[in-house]
Amino acid sequence: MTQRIGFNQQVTDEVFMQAKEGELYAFETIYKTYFKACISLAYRLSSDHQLSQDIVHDAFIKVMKKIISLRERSSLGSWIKRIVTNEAINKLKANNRVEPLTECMQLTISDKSIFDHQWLDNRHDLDVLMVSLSPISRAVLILHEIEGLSHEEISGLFNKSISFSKVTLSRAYAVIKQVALKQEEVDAFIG
Amino acid sequence: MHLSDEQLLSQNDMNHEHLFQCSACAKRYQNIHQTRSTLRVLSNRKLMNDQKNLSLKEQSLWLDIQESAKEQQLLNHRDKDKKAINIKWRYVSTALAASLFLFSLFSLHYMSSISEDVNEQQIALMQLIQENNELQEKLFSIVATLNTEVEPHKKMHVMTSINNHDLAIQQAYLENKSEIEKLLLWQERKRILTKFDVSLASKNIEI
Repeated sequence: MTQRIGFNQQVTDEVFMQAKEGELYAFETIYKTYFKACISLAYRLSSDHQLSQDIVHDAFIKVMKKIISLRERSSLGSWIKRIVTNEAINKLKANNRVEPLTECMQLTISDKSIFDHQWLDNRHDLDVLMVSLSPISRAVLILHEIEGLSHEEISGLFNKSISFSKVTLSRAYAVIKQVALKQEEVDAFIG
Repeated sequence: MHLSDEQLLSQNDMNHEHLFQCSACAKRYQNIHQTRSTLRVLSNRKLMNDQKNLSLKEQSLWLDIQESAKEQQLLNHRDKDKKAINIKWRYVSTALAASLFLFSLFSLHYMSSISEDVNEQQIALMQLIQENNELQEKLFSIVATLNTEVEPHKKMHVMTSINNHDLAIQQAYLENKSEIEKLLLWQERKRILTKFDVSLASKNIEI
């Protein structure tokens, strides 16, 4: 039997029903079950310790408020994931960290494909790669490439068109490619 | 015509057909796949490094959430009920203690007023009062050691029944009702007390 992890974990029927009735211990069980998954997702999307805690805090308050309307216990994990994601996007928007399609780094327009060769490897530092991305680009990149959300789902989160998600993703890759290649140049120069 | 990066990134069935026919796009798609994997590895590595710091916040964040939830009254359903029941329970207990005191007085009064010509009904009544007092004493000693296993709603219901019954008995004495009526009331009270005692012993109060 495989052990479930992250948002795939389940709570018992009793905990689920008691949480619907507003029982503190039931919420605590749910919190402890999904805390790691929630804080990881929030941190991936925000890249900020304090902000990720704020996201999880507000997300759980929403869970407590709205769990009564949730019918299926089995969908609790994915439901919480959606709430955390929404909360993260809202926080990024509220903090004026969303800069639609404008990267901090000047993007060099190239006719060449971003993926013409393999430019990313395990030696790269993710923090360095991501630092040039706007929060919105980083969020789209993480949601699509790591969390596995579709372009439809991402566009829904941002209230934008599907092409917004697609374009933002490819631009994000273009930016981190530039950073990765620069990093390699510097490393080669230093020797 | 080759596929664009955006098309390759959001690969669908149509693109899939093209990838089988075009080695250049297949190679680019392979690079995307590899880049994705590396990105996941880097992301997981970063998360692992920060996980300790993030996990440290688990308890303090829960306390904050709990505080906010209380402020917004999100946890109040059962807790409120329990508080209300506890308060009512205290009143009922006090009322029962007062009842016990009154019944003791009544029984004392009867015992002292018994003359040689007491009839069988009065003797039966006296015995019943005595049994009721004994049962009630036993009940109070059990109640004093009650734990949360007993559902407060059920406990409350039984105690309220006894209390209401005591009022009926007091009323019967005040209105000088017949010995038979009093006898029946005391018998009913005994039945309730017995039921409560048995239920508490089995930790399962059936109403």
